[in-house]
Amino acid sequence: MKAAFVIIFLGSWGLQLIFPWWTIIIPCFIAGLIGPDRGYKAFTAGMLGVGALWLMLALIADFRNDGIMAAQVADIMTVPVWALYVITWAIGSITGGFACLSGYLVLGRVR
Amino acid sequence: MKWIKCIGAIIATITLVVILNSRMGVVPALGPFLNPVDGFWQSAGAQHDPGSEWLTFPELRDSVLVVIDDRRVPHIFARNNHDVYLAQGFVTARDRLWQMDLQTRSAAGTLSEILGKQTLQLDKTARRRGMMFGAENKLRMYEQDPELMEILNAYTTGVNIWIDALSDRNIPLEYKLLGHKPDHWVPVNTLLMHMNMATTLAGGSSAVSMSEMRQVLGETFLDRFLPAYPANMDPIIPPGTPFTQNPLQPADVPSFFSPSVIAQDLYTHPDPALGSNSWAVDGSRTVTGRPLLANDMHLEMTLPAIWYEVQLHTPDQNVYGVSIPGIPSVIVGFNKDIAWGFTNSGANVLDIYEIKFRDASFREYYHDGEWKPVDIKVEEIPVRGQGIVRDTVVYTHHGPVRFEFRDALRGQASQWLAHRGSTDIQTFLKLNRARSYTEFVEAIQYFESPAQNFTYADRDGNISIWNNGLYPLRWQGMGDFISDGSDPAYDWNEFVPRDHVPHITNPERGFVSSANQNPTDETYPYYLGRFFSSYERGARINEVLAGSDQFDYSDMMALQLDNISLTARSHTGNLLQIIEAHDQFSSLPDSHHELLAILRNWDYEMYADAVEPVLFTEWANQFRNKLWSIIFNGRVENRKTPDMARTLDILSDTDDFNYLMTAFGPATPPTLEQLVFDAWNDSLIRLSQSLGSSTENWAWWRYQRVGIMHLSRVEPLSRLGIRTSGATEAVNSVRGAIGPSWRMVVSLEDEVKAWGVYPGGQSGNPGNRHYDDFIEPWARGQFFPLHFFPDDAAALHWLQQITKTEMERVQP
Repeated sequence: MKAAFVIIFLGSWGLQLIFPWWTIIIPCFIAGLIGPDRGYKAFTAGMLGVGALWLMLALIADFRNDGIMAAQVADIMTVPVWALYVITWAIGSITGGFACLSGYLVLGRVR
Repeated sequence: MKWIKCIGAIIATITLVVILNSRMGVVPALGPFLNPVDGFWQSAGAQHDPGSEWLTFPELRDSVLVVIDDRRVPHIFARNNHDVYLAQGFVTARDRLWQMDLQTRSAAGTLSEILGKQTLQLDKTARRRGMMFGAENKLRMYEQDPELMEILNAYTTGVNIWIDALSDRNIPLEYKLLGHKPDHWVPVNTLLMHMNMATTLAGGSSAVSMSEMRQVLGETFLDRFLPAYPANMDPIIPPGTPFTQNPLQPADVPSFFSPSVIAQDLYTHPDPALGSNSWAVDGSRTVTGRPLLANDMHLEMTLPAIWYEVQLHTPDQNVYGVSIPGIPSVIVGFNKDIAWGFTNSGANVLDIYEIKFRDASFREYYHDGEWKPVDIKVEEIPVRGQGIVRDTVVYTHHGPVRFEFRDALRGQASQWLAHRGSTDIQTFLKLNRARSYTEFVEAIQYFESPAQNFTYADRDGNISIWNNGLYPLRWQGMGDFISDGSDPAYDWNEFVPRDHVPHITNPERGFVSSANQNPTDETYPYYLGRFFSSYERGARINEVLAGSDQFDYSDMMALQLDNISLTARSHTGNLLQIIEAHDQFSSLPDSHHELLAILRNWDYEMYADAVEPVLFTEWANQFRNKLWSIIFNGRVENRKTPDMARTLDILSDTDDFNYLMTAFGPATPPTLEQLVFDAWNDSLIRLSQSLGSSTENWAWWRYQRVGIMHLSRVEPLSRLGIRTSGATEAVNSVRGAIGPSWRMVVSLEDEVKAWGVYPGGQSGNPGNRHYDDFIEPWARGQFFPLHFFPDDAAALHWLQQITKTEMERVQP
């Protein structure tokens, strides 16, 4: 579980610096192959790994910017700023969760 | 079972990715837009100016220093002209790229490529206006001048260096919202920006409406209520000033042409609210003994703003002012010797011609007794999600055919001065470097369109104003109506010689001024057009400037912020007198009498929080609507309503009113008292509907609805409901989206001093604190002292001082 989290957190970060956001599914999938011993643990690892990374990066960007841009975009989307964080977090973590679960289940089939 | 789970999870993952990667209508794809690595979070950027940076791109010939000041104004210090314009392109794109992209798309007619079919009609119109036709004609002229072309190319390179430095991560927010990417900048884009200015300032025509009104209402009506020389006009050149003795003679006036088709008028009419003020005061009237120059241009206020402040410094120039993103040079500003400003001329430079075609193929048209071939241009408009839409546009020697009336074998072509190949930007480049009146006059010869009143002042003590541009030689009234495209008498063959355009230098009265009003009285030997702004702002400026010989710069600011309405001053009394004469006046409710009493004691100031401007303006509007609705028989299309000044003159002229009612009124016409009385009652009903029944909410600023829209029309990126004073007809001319887009005051002392402000901010990035930081100060009427550095050392020294104070503030 810890290993899976680290793989996902660092792998997603590295890949996203060069490739589109959805390549986060690759480290999540790989982490699912090698880490968790239960499906729900795989899903949780994916969620926590990407979720924590994305929250952290969003917070850093927002802090550097004095929160101006997030407030503007929240206005455009007609949601409060905290909801913007929740939506951002949800998109990353659910995608990550499913990708990690996929890896875990594929492994179960091959074994 | 396990297989199903396994495949299910994989499908769920892929489906999620696909959904999150798809754009749904106006909603951007959520994955790319919201992820914190390259989504909108990264378009914000850190807030870290003021500061300095050395640009060292391989494309530069030498290194360039850019000092960004506390208002994010770049001060560019370069060692040659190539580098200074390359750097200008670079820093401008860094702050305003999306704006430059959208505005050139709007001119080129390629909006639909990013916005889909909702903008197809706009694109078709841009093409049929000949925007690209004009821009390409101009580009060909620039290409013949290697020095000019080098400047356009350097600017282009600078913009593209910034575009190439962008990645998906840090492209501006608007690209992420709309889901497109910046294309490379090309030199013709600069000329498309010029075409945009020409469209805004000199791209309108009232000819279609005027033709129909002439048919329905007759020439007497037009001459009386839409005159070329309004009676109360205080022209730019003081009456009595002698003009040239040897004017060119236009062709003989042909017999009146009645067009065979007058369709619905879809042309933009010249907008009287798009005005500007500019004046220069002679040293004999100032405290310093040196000239003062002031300029404020009233344009549509947008975010990002139309203007971008910049200082350009090279061995042969040091100039500060506002630039237009997309155009190299400073457009309005000052250098160490001179200052200049603009107001729009309003002279007619767009004529509409009825074209007679030989047959339904529209391949030949009749002109000067023979059938002539047309040029064909097939416009290909890319539409997002729909491929290419084609539109075949027919060109005559007059210009492109905007509208086709197939059944009648007729078309309407427009001839527009902006279509001409000309190198107008040369004027700005030369003004930026000009050191004397002679060099000023030499510089403005290159400027053809949109014609401007060029106000000038220098440190030697000269002041001057030139109503300058290229004007077709017209017979009296030529171009006011739909022109006969087959008759050479309507062709543009010759132009008013440049030394014959209205101008005056160091006049006796000690000041020059313009507020878009008529440049001259009727003694001027050339006809320039029929629709200039009405007299109020110009007359008020002249009244104030004639009133003192002890002006300092703060008086110039105060005059730019002057809120007196001459319309109200001239006519509030008349309205009150007339309503009092109505036999039901005394039976009006007490609340009405209270409001009328407030109006009676008014000082005619259009203050943000006052109720009087609301009452007067709505009352006058209601009267104007009612009166002309009777005369026009309720018709709104193809009618040009006489302006407020002319309309309210009728209040004190029974001849006018009787003429109108006898000639055009119903069998039993209303009395003037009845119209004024009804207008008053209706205005209060209307105000209750729009502002609420409590008169405490009837503040002028709520009525004015001053707001600055983001160019994408996305409201949260806009700043609406701005509380500020002023009125369309006041010198501080503001209403709705239109207002003073740059206020500048320059004192031409030994060391030139200047102040300025515009409603916006230097950064086009909604995530930057300089996105909208000038709006509040602007609304309150504040000015910023402008940092005009003599050289790079001074700029760096200033920077050192300010960062030191900043540090002290942070660590006491």
